[in-house]
Amino acid sequence: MVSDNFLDTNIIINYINYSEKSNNLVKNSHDYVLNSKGEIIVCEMVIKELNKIRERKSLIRKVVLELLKNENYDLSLVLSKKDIPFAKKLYARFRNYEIKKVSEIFIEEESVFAIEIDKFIETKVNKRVIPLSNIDNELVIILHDLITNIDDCKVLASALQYQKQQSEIFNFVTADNTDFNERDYKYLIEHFEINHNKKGFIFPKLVNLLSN
Amino acid sequence: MSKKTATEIENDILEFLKDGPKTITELKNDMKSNWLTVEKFLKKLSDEDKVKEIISTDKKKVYQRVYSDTYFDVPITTKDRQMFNSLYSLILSKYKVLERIPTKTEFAKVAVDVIEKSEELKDLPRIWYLYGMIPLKAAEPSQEYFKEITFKNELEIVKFIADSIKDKKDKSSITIQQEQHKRFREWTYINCDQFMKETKDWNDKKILDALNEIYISCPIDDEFKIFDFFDKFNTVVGKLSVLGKLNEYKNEIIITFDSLYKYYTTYRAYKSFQELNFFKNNNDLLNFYIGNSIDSRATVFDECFSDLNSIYLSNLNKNVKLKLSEDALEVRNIFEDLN
Repeated sequence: MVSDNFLDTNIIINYINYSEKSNNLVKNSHDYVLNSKGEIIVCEMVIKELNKIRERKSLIRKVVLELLKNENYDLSLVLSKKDIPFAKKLYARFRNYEIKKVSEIFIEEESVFAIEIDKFIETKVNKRVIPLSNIDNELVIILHDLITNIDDCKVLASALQYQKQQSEIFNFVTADNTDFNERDYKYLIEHFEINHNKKGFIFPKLVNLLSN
Repeated sequence: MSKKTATEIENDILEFLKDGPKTITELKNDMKSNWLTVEKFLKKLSDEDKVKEIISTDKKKVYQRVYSDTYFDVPITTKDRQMFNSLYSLILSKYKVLERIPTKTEFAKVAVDVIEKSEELKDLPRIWYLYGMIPLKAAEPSQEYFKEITFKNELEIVKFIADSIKDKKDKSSITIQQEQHKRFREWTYINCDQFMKETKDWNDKKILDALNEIYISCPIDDEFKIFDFFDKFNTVVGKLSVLGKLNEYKNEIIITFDSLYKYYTTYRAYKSFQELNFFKNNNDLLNFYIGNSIDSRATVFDECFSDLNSIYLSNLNKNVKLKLSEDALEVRNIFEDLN
């Protein structure tokens, strides 16, 4: 039987980032989406996260331009700890270029990236589900006891809410080994069966491309 | 103690509001009066547009003095007002001799030039706003100003005025503005000038080049959406360019840019007040004077941007072939692990 696929943000980003030079995970994500037979489902929280990623990338690029203007520019003033390495890599790659040229390259990449996100949503996504205002906050709080990243909790809460409305089990497709690895997901299901059985949530099948 | 006249009470209220907005209770305490009297005269002053109510709840009413002659109603000292008026009077006298009436921009820029050069005037407050650097007290060519004080170095000031007027003779207001932006090396203004110039004789490549320069010079500020807005605008224009639709929607692009420029220049006015250390507390500056203007400029930008983005989405061709240059592909690869 063909199952539908509820995509996590990282799968879409990987699909868009795909090129001949991509690593295996990006290739796997790309191929998974490309060969998917069932419907592609995306929740509004994932759409919001895609925008957040676009904004993070923009800020990193802009900070690199500031670095090119002034090599003593303090990256930590604007960027989070986890984004600083990306800025450093970009700076190292383009430090000998003229700033105007670098900005042009950045704008080119950003424009194409943004179009690809829009195109993905327009052409690949069959269903957009669970508006942000409908995310069950109580469920998010329960998930947050076991999953540290609150945005991940909202994505999974959306998946659980949508699964509750469906008769068939769909795949929850991710490439995140921190919050959605097989072992923890199994524990999460057991935790719900023991502690929140009455709420009637059914878990979609986890497909973690990082474990494959 | 004799009872105060109505005029004295009104003057007292205006005097106590010079330091900034106050509640009725604060004014009552300052004036050693009662709540009902203060409220009655505030109502009268409000009807005459001399004060305005800026916060009104059941428990609290806050009033602010209206200075219709300064930008954003920001209060200035009596001495500064007298100096501005006297300077403006000298400038207009000079124009009268030359049998000319300056434009508002020219008048303001001459005033800024003189304030810059004169040791005696150098502390008069100036801010960056829509048309570049301007004196905080609005300079209106149609208004009559009187010399309220005599400057110590009046001859020198008169000479500076003559020099500045001569320098601006036969120049358009736009040229005068652009020259000032360059003189102060205000790159975002300079680059916005270039963009606006390019829109007159539209060429996609030149438009994108000008936008690129703005993108490089625009500031990042945690407190405001300034970079976020420039980035959103840049991205949607970039996307329209990839779709080959730039020229087709130039009017919408220009309108959105105009709203962005107005947001930026209002933000820049806010930064000017910070640079001048005009307020002890930035929250007062935002809450009582400039915050509403920044917010309404942001709302207008959001609306224009939303229209432009809808245009882009309606033109999004599902079959569009997207190809990145080698360099852009490298950027993409560096970002591959960002999730």
